[in-house]
Amino acid sequence: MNSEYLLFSMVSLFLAIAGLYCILVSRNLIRIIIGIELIT
Amino acid sequence: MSTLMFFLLFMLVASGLYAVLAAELIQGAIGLAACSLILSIIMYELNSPLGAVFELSVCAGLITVVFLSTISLTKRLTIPESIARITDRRNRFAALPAIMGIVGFLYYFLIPPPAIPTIPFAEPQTFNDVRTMIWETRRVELIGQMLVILAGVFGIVILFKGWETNENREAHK
Repeated sequence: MNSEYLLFSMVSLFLAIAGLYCILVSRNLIRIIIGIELIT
Repeated sequence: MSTLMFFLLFMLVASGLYAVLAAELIQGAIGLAACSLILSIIMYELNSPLGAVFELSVCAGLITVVFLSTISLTKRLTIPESIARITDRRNRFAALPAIMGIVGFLYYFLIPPPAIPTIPFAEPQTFNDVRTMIWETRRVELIGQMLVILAGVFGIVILFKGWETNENREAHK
């Protein structure tokens, strides 16, 4: 149970980092929306 | 946890990274659709078929169609512009895999695992009919979702209409 919790939380953390980085670094509106979509 | 779930979670992260790192916008939109598709399979595997259906229809279907139709309205880059864009993106996004690796390492090895709530899970409410759940229990959310989608579509239409007019004005000058 704990390992599953850790794995799922790590996956969600990775996706959140990717989305946030995309929002912060991109200059394109569609890219920013893709980042928001990844976070949600 | 099954091997299938490991594979799906790995593919989820990989498709998310592809959506962010892809050079072309259309590739990014397809990566996002793949991400939503894999997420809907995971939701289905975790006994949440309704969530999976909505994820598949809205995020993998509708959002992708809106993205692709919007991207089709944009102007294609020439080959030198495209090469310059790829180089620029490579420089800006080079740090992302390293950041993800460092944060993942810190989270796995240094931060103690969070306490799992010991409250027993409530029995899921059983709905005899999906129509009852959507149109009666979740009516407000459904109307809100429709309004958000309509606002987005009309916003895109108005935005591009305005840009086209400005371009036309400049062209006539």
